[in-house]
Amino acid sequence: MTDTEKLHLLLVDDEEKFLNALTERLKLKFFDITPATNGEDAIEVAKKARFDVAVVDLQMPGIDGVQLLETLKKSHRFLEVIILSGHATIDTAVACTKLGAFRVLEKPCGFDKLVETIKEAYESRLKKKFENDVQRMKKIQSVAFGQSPLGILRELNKMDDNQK
Amino acid sequence: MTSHTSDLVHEQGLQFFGSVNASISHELKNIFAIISETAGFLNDLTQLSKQGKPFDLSLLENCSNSIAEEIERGFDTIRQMNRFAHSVDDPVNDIRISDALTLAVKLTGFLSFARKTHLKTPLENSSEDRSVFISPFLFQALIYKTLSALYRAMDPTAELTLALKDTQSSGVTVIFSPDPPVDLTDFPDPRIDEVAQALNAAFAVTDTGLELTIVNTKPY
Repeated sequence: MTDTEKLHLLLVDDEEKFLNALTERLKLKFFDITPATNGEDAIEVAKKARFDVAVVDLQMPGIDGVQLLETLKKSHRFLEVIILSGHATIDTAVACTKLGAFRVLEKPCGFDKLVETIKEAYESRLKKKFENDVQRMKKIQSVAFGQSPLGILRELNKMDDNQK
Repeated sequence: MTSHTSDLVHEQGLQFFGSVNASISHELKNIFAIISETAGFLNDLTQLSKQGKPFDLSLLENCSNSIAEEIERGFDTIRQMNRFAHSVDDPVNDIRISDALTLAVKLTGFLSFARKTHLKTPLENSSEDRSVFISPFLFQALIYKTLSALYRAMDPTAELTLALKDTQSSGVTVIFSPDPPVDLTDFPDPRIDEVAQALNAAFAVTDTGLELTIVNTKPY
């Protein structure tokens, strides 16, 4: 599988060991990972590259997860952002959802649950991107949900284009 | 303990207690998240091995080292949590200033906005180190709130140094020196000052930072 066929994920967390372990695990699956240990670096790389989904920690030194969420949503119309944080509360979940976060997950979150959420986020991204493209929407909706999350991701990825 | 001090423990102390516990639980969640993902990665590597796919064996060593380090980090976090929990054992007690500063630096280190902080070492062997008969919990709250306020005022890359200065026979001054210096014209806020006054301590803003003088101390 080439890098262009993979899903592009932006992972942002100031816990470097967590970031490294998650990056290695996701790389073994269907993902092309760009890790960033702070909000400033994440914004810089997002200016240059296309990402399908971002997974963002909340509390980080400098630009925090909420500010990063706002910035990414403004500059990347179809990017879905998942918040993954040890600080997740009902209040933060509501606030982040209002700002456009796709989902708020609490650390530690099981790997399978994270992959499943990324799949749902990517599906949501495609539906928003192609809501006026009837043919493509039909294909997206027809993806068999009996498949594994990674299988569905592969199918969905074939229907995407290169727009941010 | 006076009734005013007792009121402060209830009003500001509970908030402080909650804040410290929230930051500790966040730290523990991070540790568990790292251990969980690293163990998951070990499992992924095992599956690769079963399928006969090659991988760099140093990855196994990195994983086991990482798990061992995080377990030690977890133990250290629990040690600090335990020391903090015991600060409410006695309403007032003799405490060593250097011990209180060390614990406050460790506890504030769990905050996401914490800055790199140096205790001018070794405080515990410093001739300026003193003990003071005080409310251990409120004194911890005072130092914690002071450090938190300074961290918020400092740039993310700034650093803070703490030192002790012998001021008079019965007093000692804690010197907080942010590098680069920060604007402290509005410091301390009334709530922090209220705690300081209840403990017979006083703040002074200097050209290079902040000083907190504690009276009625005795040599340790």
